[in-house]
Amino acid sequence: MIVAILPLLATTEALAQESPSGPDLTDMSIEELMSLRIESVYGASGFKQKVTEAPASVTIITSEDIQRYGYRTLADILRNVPGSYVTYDRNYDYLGVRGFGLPGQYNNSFTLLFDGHRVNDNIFDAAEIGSDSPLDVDLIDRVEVIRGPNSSLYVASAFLGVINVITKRGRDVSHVAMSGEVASYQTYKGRISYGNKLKNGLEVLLSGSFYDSQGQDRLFFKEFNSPATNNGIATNADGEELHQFFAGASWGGFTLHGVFGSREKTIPTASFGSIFNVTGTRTVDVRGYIDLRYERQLAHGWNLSSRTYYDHFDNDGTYEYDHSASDGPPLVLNKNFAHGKWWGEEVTVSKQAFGNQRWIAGTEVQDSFQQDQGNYDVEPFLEYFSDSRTSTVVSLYVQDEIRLRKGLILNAGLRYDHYSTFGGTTNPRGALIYNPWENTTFKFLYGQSFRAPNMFELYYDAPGNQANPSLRPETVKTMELVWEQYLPKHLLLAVTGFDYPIRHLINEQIDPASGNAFFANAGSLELRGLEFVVSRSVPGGLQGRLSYSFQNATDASTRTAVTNSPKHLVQASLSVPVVPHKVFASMDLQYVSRRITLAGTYSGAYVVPNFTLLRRSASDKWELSASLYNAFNERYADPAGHGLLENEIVQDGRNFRIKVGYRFH
Amino acid sequence: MNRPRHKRPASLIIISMMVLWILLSSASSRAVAVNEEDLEYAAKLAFLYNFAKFIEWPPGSFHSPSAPLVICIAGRDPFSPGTENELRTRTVSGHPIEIRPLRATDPVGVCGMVFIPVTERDQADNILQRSRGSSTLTVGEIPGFAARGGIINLTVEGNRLHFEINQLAAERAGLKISSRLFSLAKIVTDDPRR
Repeated sequence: MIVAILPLLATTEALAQESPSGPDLTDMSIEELMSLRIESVYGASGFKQKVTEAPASVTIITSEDIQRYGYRTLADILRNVPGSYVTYDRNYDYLGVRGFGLPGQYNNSFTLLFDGHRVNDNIFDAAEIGSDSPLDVDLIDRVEVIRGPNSSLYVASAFLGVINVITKRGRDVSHVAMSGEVASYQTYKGRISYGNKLKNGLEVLLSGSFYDSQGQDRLFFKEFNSPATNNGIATNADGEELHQFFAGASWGGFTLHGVFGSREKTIPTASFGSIFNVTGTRTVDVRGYIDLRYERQLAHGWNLSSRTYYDHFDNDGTYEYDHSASDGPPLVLNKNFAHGKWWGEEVTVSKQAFGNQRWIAGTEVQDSFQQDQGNYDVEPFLEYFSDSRTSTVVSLYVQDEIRLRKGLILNAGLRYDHYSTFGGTTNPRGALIYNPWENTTFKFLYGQSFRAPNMFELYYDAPGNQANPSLRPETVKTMELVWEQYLPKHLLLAVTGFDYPIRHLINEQIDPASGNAFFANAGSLELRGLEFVVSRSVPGGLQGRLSYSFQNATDASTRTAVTNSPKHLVQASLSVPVVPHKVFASMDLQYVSRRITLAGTYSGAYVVPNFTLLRRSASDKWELSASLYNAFNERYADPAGHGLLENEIVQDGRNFRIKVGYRFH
Repeated sequence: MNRPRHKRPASLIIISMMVLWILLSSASSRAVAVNEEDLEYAAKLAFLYNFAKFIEWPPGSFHSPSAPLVICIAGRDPFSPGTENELRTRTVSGHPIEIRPLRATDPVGVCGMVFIPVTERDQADNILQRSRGSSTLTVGEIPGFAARGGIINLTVEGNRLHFEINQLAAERAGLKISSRLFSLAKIVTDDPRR
């Protein structure tokens, strides 16, 4: 396999040398400048902030990257972000950063934002980054991954980071765009979008996507390797179906976004003690929201922005159980649900003082008027648990950015949140950003943050589980030192050191008396590490990144390693224009070192490279891409979470995707 | 898992080294450092340079044939120092380019060109007012800037940069804009409602 790759890399190397990959923009004609693809449109936000001046360590992924590297989901995007890794349990994807990513935690340590709207739900605080995401990645303009707690600006559970997704605008699509995909495991996907900016200033983007996948027809789980359970082989139990809708409109100071997604996934892992090798065990996740934003510039540099939103989340699981051991029927359908509805209002005021100071203050009220959970058998009907709640969160925050002198920025923020579930918490944050020389940036970052216990952790009480309403928030104090060095020829070197002590970790425990699982503030973690990044991005040309992360996560009390925490990560990506502006050959690769499983064994290290070839017509009318994922057919597995009998979950081998896009102007 | 173990680190090291080599290998151009996020502003600065090339200032705007063309940046400077330095090595019709910040109290008239970044949009009207009567080329990146009396406004449409020209405003400032610029621009006029 390696031998087959070498000539490809050698060719791309030659092309990289020959192609005019490093044009000096100053020497370009206006026509050339007008044909340049601009991916990062800061002007639109009105509060443009250079990455080098952001009070955090930030990685940006653009729609161009998504196309060139053949990313299919947010999870694909995130696994290529330096220091991140993604774990999949054949239903949901879990993000890990800074060596922290407990399996089965539903990404509640991160805040996922779509256009500033918090996507995490009000029961699990789950961020949907896999195929369950309600947003089609083709509609993403860019993704900003902000490491560390930005909770002085964003709502809680921005514990270890914020993933800020900015969607495209109508004019980016104009007018009708369609795409179709065929992929391994009998996977089909289609999308149709309409976008336009009308003469009267109204800008609209409407899009709908449909995705259907048979999934792996045979999956082997050694824990079920007995004749009674089909020798551990789950057949045709990995399918999924997904519908996604997006509507965006803006007019004057108003911006309206509506997002809706519905996914049904068959679960092949016999989770929560259900029957192995059946197709009836599945979850349906429905997520939708409407968000109306109004922005207005007032006199004397004041800005007012207000946001009103309504959110909806339904998670419905159906599990097939065999009750014959207890003289019951051999097939009982068990339903488990979590239904949430909430609305909120946020008002932000900011003032831009000419040149050297700007501050923002805001308040947000979020009212969860439905937070229902329950579990019952359908036939014979038996209700095990039913719980209805409501809760509110009220937040106040203020942030000031001061240019102390040329090349020195102080950024300080304070946030107060009051939760009806546990009370109030105040968290400060500070950053000193220093540019001693033109192309050198040092960032000293300090932050405090918390993760509120969610409704599932507080009140879930189905058989085998136990509620714990006295849970307190998990806390973290983060210290980070970043050095970024821009070098000629578009090169960037970055080194980051971090120390994140986590206290009062909300962790799943087993009550020795009852054998029930419950959540408790048990344990402290130390996350320490170093990250090295070399990246190069030539406008319209060669781009790539190589990063190495050393992350040492230890349990502070037992001094033992943390579950699903790799010590070493290597991530590489490279995209080369084979024919300038038309054909791009791209590769990305992830190396994840071995990780401890819940059972205390190791999931082996793996190397997974993916390749994509993209062909684009000169007028951007059509686009064709072919991708090969896990090209070496690496057989690897991820540590499994609680609720699974498996110790490890097998991942996909080599697979492909062909995608065609067409645009009617 | 059934694969021989030694292959994995070998392929990892080989690919990583190849990527590093390609990333570090020298491209022939003497391009300045532009990180991806700054591409928009690197391109916008190149636009400013191009505008200067295709615009004729009224006689007497420059003290001498070698007097600098002063490009003022209002408020917070969005351009990277590297690209600005690159521009400082260029000349326009024999005038070396000088880039300097424009503070709230500075006279606008000394600027041959003033760029008002989107972050300073609240100052736009103020700066336009202060530039009245001078032959300063006002360039913005603010929706509606040209209709408000700015001469050139940079816009982003379909992931590409475009620009609008307010011909009346250019005439008021005594600037002659080449037909090449007009052919590429969207022509706008003063918003009558203002």
